[in-house]
Amino acid sequence: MRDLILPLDPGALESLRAGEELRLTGVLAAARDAAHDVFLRTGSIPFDPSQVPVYYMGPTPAPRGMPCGSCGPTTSQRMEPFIPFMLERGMRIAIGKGDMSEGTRSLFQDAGAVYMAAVGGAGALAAESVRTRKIIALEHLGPEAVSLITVERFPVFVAWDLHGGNIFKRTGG
Amino acid sequence: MPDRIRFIDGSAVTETVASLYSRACTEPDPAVEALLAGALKLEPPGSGRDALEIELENFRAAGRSGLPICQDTGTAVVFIEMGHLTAVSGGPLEDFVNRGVAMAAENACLRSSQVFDPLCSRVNTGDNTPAVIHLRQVPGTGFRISVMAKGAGCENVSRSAMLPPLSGEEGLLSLAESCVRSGASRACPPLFLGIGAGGTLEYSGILAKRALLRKAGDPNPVEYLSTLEQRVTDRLNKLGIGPQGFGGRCTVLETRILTAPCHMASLPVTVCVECHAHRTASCEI
Repeated sequence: MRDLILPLDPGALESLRAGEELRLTGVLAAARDAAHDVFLRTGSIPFDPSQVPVYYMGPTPAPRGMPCGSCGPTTSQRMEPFIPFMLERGMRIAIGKGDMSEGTRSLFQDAGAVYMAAVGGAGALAAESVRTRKIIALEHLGPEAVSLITVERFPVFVAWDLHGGNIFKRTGG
Repeated sequence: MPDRIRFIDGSAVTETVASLYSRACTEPDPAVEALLAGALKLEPPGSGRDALEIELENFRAAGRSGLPICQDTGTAVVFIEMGHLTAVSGGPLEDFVNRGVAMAAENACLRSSQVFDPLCSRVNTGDNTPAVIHLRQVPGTGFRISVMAKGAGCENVSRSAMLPPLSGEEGLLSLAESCVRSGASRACPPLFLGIGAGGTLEYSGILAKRALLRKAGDPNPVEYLSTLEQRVTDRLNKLGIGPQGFGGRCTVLETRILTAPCHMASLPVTVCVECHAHRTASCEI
């Protein structure tokens, strides 16, 4: 298991291998379907996807005194229609859960981007690594608002690396 | 002499639903945890095993913080078995159930994931209502409520099919296999599968959901179904999909099947896919 500090430099991105377990420390931008739909329609993204990994996530409300509620990943497949646009805007790391199509995998590889899988369902554990959460756009979308979260040792796996490696490949699942 | 009706105050229904729903979302089921721990023992080293360890650690994290196990606290699917001599006083049952769901969402900090209009506006309802309610009348004066927090990740890979009527067990096996093959990694495996066979299109779906209410680890009382459940589980565990789809031995923890009579020209089958956290709670009022 490797500990990495965000943002990753190109060398670090290059060194990642599918199947590897990581702990990420730094800032992530949380956005789901509804937010991506707005990014695409307006052409405007309220953070820099070349610097900040995009985390497909909508948390539960934070109880008093906690920065964030339960915050595991949502299904990445639903974001596939927005991925070409996000990659065009420089997205280097996306974090979600589950496999996506082979077409999307080659788009990632061609763009020099890595897909990481967080553990689906592990929302309470994910919350333990969140230090701060700040809503930066689309607050009216409730759990689908866009937020920046600061994480410390957030657990993820490298799903697709830059060399064609694919954690899901063995199975097609 | 006329039957004596037992009246249950609607507020008792509300409080019970609220407590069951928040419990299901925030307190891991020990029987589910035991199945996951058992699967971990058999899982060979690799990313799948590492993911299974994180799933178990997450159950402990929910215990530490009281936070929901998963941020998708689901659609509240509420099953009610109501005695034929029981009545709810004070208003329509549905209203009391929905008040309970809203109360749990507020008090236990559950996520509101329900939207009003499925096709058009998709505006969030703000309190995670409405619940989906399945009401069944049973003999007596009882009133049993079961709540399932059904997340969308696994629900989205579920499938119904009207199979050729004579396709039998093989038909059911192939439907379950195609469902798991194409979607398991998005459904947070290792999975529970609820399968409903028979009835009509919509009834097979209700059976599939209800099948998931059986306590984790308990066998099917019908012997041939118990054997078939094991065949489904064994076949799917040969696919190698593994925890989170990262590869491994355990893709399906348990299969549960419920059947109902159906038309001679039909075989409706629904495979309801359920994630590893399998959040349910039930009690009798």
